[in-house]
Amino acid sequence: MKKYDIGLIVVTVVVLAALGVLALGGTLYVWWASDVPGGFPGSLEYEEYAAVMNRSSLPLFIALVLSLVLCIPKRIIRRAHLVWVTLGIFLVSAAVSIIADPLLGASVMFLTAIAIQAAVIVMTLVGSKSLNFQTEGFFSQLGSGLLHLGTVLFLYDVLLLSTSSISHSLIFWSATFLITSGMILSFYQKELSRLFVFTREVQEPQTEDPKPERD
Amino acid sequence: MATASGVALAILSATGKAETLRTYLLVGASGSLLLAFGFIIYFHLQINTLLPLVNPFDGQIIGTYKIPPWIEEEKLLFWSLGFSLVAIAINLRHSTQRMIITGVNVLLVALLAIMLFASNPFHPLLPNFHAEIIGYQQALMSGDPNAAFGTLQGLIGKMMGFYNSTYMWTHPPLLFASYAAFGATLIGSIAMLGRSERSVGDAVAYDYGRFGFIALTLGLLLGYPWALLAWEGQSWWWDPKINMAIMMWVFYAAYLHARLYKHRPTMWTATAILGISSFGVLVLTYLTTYLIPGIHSVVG
Repeated sequence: MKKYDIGLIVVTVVVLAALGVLALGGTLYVWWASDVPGGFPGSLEYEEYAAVMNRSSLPLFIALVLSLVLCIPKRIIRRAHLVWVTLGIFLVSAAVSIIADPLLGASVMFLTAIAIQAAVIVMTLVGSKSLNFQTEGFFSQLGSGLLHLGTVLFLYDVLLLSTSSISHSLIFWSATFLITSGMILSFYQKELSRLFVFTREVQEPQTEDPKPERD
Repeated sequence: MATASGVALAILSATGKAETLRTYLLVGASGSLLLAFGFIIYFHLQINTLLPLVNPFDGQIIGTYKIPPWIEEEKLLFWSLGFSLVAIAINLRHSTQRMIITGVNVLLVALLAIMLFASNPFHPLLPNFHAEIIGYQQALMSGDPNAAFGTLQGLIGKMMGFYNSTYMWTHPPLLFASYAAFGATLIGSIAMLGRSERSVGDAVAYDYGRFGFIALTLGLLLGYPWALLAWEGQSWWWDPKINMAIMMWVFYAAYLHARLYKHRPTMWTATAILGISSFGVLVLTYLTTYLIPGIHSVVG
């Protein structure tokens, strides 16, 4: 499971780095092309540039989504079944995309990931021992769960935006809340753990008599 | 006054002496910035009270400006004020760490010097806003309601979508709060490359880096629904500023991930270099507004 985890982290970092390089390339191109008569932003050349950027970034976004979908089931599914479950999600999504609609196919994949991640969060909250986490500590694990769910929701929101503006608001604000609270729990888990232990100690005073003080 | 206090502060920090005087100078620099910021708020309140948008035909007030105190050249003042608070916290908590204290104070002086010589918010006050509203005011005073109404249309759109937008009170201040915190990450990362203050440098870099990353992520997220509203029908995807902001986020995410493995061979240096280079990308992101044409930019 550790090799699988590190492999996923490496894939995510490579995809993010590639997105960073693409973004830098785009910026440098706009700088180079900025002497277009009448201004580059809003011009026909800008539309072409945006189309090239969209085409170039699409495989990277797909890879990012796939790495997330691969990352999510590993919390609750044993390694022996993990590849088959993940493959199953992809095949069902691909089948729906081909038979019905690509957006519906993508929705199947996203909604499955959202359902699994929501289950992970509930299991973390009730203290289930059958979850596979690399990190230790309740707040860190809960933070990781919320962060992943928020990220999947945010990407799903970006995907849905072209078709539904009604759901955008609800999904976007849920994703923002989950990402922010997930980050706070992950980054400040030590402080929160200390605070939680301190609060519990104050609420539950020791029942044993303290040792008598020496004169 | 803030810059003069800052220069004296940086010199004293390098000598490692006069700790009490250093504290007074730092509080003096921050106090001057706070005073300047207070004046900016007062100026914006005056705009709100004295410059309403009036229907030139019936004299009814259509709207009043609620301009946040971090637009145009005021941005750097807000960033400097935030970083001065970070500098006070670090000076108080790590007063014996000479390299870190000197680094933080020198960075504060650099910000103040740039503000004074290249981005002075008082010279002049809100030039772009002034340029936008002066035509309408002149037309209004000339007694030509048709001409005044013509300019009013554009002003109302910008007032509602930009100056008075709720997102204006969340998106920019969160980003500048993150910039202020990342200043400490830069200094801490530089200290990580030295010998005497390596561990404290890492602690300072991470303490402020994690806060900065949360503020940066939330700030960027809140820019998204605003962009959808304000730039509907316009090309804003792949705008240079947005590209650079993605780069900055990726760099800081890489720094925080690298730090998880800091005790592995070469990862300590790699983490420090990522912390330093991320700040380089931050500066480039800030400068993009002034250098490269785009929907976020003030050039072209």
